[in-house]
Amino acid sequence: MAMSPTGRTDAELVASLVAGDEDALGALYDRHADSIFRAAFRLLGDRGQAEDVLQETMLALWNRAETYDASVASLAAWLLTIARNRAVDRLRARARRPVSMLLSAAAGAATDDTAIDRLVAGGELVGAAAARPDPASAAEASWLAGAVRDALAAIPDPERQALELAYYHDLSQSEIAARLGWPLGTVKTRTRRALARLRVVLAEVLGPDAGLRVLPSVSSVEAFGALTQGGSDGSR
Amino acid sequence: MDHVEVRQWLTDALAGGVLPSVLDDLAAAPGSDAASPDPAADEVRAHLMACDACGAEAGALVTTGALLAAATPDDVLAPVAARERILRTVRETGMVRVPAAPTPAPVAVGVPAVPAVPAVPAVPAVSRLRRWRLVPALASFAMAAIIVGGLFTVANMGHQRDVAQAEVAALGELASASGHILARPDHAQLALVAADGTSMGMVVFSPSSGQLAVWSRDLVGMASGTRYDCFLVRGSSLTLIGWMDTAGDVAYWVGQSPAGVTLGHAGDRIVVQADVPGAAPVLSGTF
Repeated sequence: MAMSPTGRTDAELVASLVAGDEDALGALYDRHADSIFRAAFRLLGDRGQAEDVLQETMLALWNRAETYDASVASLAAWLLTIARNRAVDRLRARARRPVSMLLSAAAGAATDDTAIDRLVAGGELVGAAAARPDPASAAEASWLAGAVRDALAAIPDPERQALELAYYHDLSQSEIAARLGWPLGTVKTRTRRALARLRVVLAEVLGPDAGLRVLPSVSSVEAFGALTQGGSDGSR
Repeated sequence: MDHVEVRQWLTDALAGGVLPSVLDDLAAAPGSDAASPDPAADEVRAHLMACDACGAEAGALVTTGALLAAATPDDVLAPVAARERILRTVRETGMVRVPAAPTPAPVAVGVPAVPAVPAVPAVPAVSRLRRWRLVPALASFAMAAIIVGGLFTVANMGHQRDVAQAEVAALGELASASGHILARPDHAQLALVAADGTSMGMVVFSPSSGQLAVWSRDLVGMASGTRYDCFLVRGSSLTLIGWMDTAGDVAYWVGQSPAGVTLGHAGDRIVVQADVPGAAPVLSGTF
């Protein structure tokens, strides 16, 4: 009978995993999956792709456990390095996928690298900031995250709540409506309005080069109104 | 769809944390396996192709999503439903591990279950032929792993042992993954050739599982220190599959095919090229 993994160190669990103990894999998953998923989501901004990275990281742990050396780094750091490499792989692939061409063509920028970089600026920017170990980049990434949190804090509570439940906690609009007791249309309206407000605030903080501008063919007032249409808002 | 509907559609995808995947789906050719089954996606794609303003708006939403993701709070957790699926996938596609013997020999650690490959039943005759041709290649990987493992057994020196252990595990991963792919009834293979037509590598994949393995024993010696990328070329689009890892004299990539891409379409090419600006493919193969 396998010993309960509770209380065993990462190194002990890895040794068990190398010996073919599948319970050890489950225990290591329970211990590290959340931080791996979070790190991947921070880089990729996509729940499905973050799940894929989590899966690939656990597969790498299973296949390459012999290469882990506890005297060199913690298992958490080792796993996060694997996850980061997999996520960056995806960011690079994303930059080269046809959707970049599709958007850049629509934006009138053909296929030059600058247009691609601009269109994936968020992913490249955040990925690079999180990946670089030097203090300046770490500070930049920290400042950026802080700016976004400040911008979120500036949004009215109901709108921020709707956006956070949807974006960070994977609740569907129906689930949010049920949890908060709001009509479905109100959830949609508040979520869209939260994103529109967030863009306005971040554009002011980050400046025109951040890539948050737009709306040339529709006035900003019309666009803001359009984005927040589609449902009633009980707060008004 | 008009401007407002397209922007609401994209905004809802962003709020749901799936905008990058949705844009990947939009990039797929309409009607292809990778394209979204949502009929609205076709309308959005057509609109974006024709509308500069909404194309730029989509780019701004991508940036907004990246910024939101960067501020992900620490209470965000991996989806509960993912646990069993991921652990099952690792068990099914990972290397075969057996309980350690009382005094395990170093070479036994990480060596994949290559002998299990020929034992898979009910494979069509054509697949048997393909697999038979691949067995020597897999055997060579296993042999390389044994040789490498033997090195550290004899030398027993710290650094060499670490390197050897890593190479044993890497080659084991390659052989194990290839074995799993070859055990799939729908597996197929593709030779990678150099510009002069010399066969220098191989691709094995399974369309149903999406598993893919690419390897060459000639890349490492061609330009030591150079990293190689592996791409899928379909029409005029180029999709990065991944970076080639190295183990001994083997350069390889193992994993899932790119999200939303089904391999094996007639005319598709797999190319391998150095990760430097302006590099030309050094290996290629056409389905």
